[in-house]
Amino acid sequence: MAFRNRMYQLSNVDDADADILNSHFAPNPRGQNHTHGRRRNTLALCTTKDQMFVYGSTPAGGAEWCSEALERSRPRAAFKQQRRRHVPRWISDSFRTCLPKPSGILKEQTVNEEEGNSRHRGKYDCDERIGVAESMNYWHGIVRTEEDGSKTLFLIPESWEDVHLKEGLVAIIDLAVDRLHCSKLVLFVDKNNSSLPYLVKSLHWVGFEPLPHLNCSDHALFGMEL
Amino acid sequence: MPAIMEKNMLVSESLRTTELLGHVKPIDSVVTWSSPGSSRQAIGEAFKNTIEEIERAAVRGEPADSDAFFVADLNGVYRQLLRWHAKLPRVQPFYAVKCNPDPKVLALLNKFGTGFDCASKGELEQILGLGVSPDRIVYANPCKAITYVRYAASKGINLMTFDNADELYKVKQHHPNSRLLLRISTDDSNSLCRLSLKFGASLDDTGKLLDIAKSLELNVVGVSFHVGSGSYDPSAFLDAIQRSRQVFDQGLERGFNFDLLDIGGGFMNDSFDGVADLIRSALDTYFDPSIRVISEPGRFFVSSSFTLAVNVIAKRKLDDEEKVMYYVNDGVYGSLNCILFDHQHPVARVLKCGSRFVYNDLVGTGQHRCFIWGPTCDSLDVIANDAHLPYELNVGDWIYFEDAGAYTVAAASCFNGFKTSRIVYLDTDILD
Repeated sequence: MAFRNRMYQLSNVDDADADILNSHFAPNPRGQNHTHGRRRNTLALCTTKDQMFVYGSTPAGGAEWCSEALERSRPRAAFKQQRRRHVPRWISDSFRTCLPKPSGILKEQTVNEEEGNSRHRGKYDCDERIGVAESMNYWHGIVRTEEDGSKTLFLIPESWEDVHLKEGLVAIIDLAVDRLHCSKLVLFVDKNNSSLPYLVKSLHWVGFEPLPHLNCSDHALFGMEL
Repeated sequence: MPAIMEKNMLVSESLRTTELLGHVKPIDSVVTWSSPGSSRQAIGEAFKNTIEEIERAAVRGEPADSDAFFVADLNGVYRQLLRWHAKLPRVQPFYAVKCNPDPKVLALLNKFGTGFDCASKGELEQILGLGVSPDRIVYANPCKAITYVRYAASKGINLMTFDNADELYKVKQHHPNSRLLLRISTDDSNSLCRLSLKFGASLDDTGKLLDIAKSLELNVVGVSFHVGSGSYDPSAFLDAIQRSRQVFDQGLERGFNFDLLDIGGGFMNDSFDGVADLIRSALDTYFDPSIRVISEPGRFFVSSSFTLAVNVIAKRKLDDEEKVMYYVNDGVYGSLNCILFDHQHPVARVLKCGSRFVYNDLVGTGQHRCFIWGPTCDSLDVIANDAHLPYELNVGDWIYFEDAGAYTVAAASCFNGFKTSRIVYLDTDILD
């Protein structure tokens, strides 16, 4: 029922694709789950500038079904500009101040000047902005390519209150390794989170370690090699 | 016939561990440091020598390595190993590598046939690099991403835990030959916080999970549980063993051949003797001798064997002159991860004040109240909020923390630039 609420519907994809995903979350009256209550599925929808796909913790076949559905709808999506979800100001500020100094190639200033609209271009070619959508939450992320070709995924959730930590982390790790080919994952954790001690302990069990970073006054960074 | 042979191999493997330990003769150095008092004296000497070496380097103008350092007493780990086998001879320990991945600790435990509990790729690579055979490794990460399951399959590590249906489908697809342990929860009350990982399946779900495993033709070989590290209630182990018996019965009803029980970790140094007596009695009551029992201890082996020394690098007096702030050269982003990750509260003691070494002085709490901060000026980098020291310190003095072996020594990774803490070992003859 909650998924029919407009507030919870996925709003960063085409209407057709949103219908596919929302119908997947809708309760199945004929399925076995109906008698035992609807089970929770964690689907991660990843949208980059070139493509989008679904990945997550589902019973066998579920992920393939979603990927197949999106593959079928891909030709139409290719001719349509993706509507990217609005990035909250505080998340943009967090990325700007807290990301480690990039080791990628800085775009030449002259090229920007020739373009004429350089203010709207990203400063670093190696950074790519992505979004990961769950059923009740959204993760904003940046994929950065290091000099040696390896990639790091930086993620901030819009709200830690709606994170189902175990299912969410499994889906994100699978996404980062299999689809984005990242070798490192870094999470931004709000220091003022009242659940910080429990969250930090859980991240430790999964394999994260704290990263010292002097520029972050609001967030603690936790990283893990994948 | 194959099942019987496999069972015999497992039993002989468990016996081999006991025989291996029984055949090891005491090393002369072990006799020398056999008592904790002698070890304490040796630790004090090691602290003094290392600090004097650092100060001589500073006087000569050399770039002194004034970072914090550990003094590690490997014989302490050996004593804990002897203690374990005296109290729990039936239980084969699988050391939790995350607790302290120091190479010499791992080499010592490997020498005496200990198994290893690995939770990440790096730990698996480290343990396999020691030459440990894959059947002495259990993979127990609570978040089993596909990349981890595939990696375990490629390395031949078959013993894994599971506690939900998603993991069963994942294992069926990527590691169908695995040997699975059903992890059960040990606390039915609601979790303290939603952001805590949910460990284990409740007894209401174990039947359904075993049905799914049966339909997928997966090989479930037993049950595992994990009483929390902070648990001081010995009856928690008894309750968990009783629950395991119930799940064993559920498995037998469904045609599984359960022969392995994993009683997890959470053993504390102080309460070990009482808990071990209770566990031994409960195991003999509920499980046949043919059932192999393993465990995943961590801090029990290493906590008391490491002592950390840090240097005061800055000092600041507050306006009211009542409290003083000290800044030391290590913190929660370095060797004191345990404060963040393990919710420990290490007790600060004065090691060197001016020219006086006061390590072995059993001075209790003093009147000098102070804050102790780490070196990063970060709001999380707090070591002690209200430490009580017997003396007021100055820049250049040293503080030490005892029982600094659990969740302090960080494994080298690409994030910390492979800059790990220096460790001074007391006596490495035990590794020969």
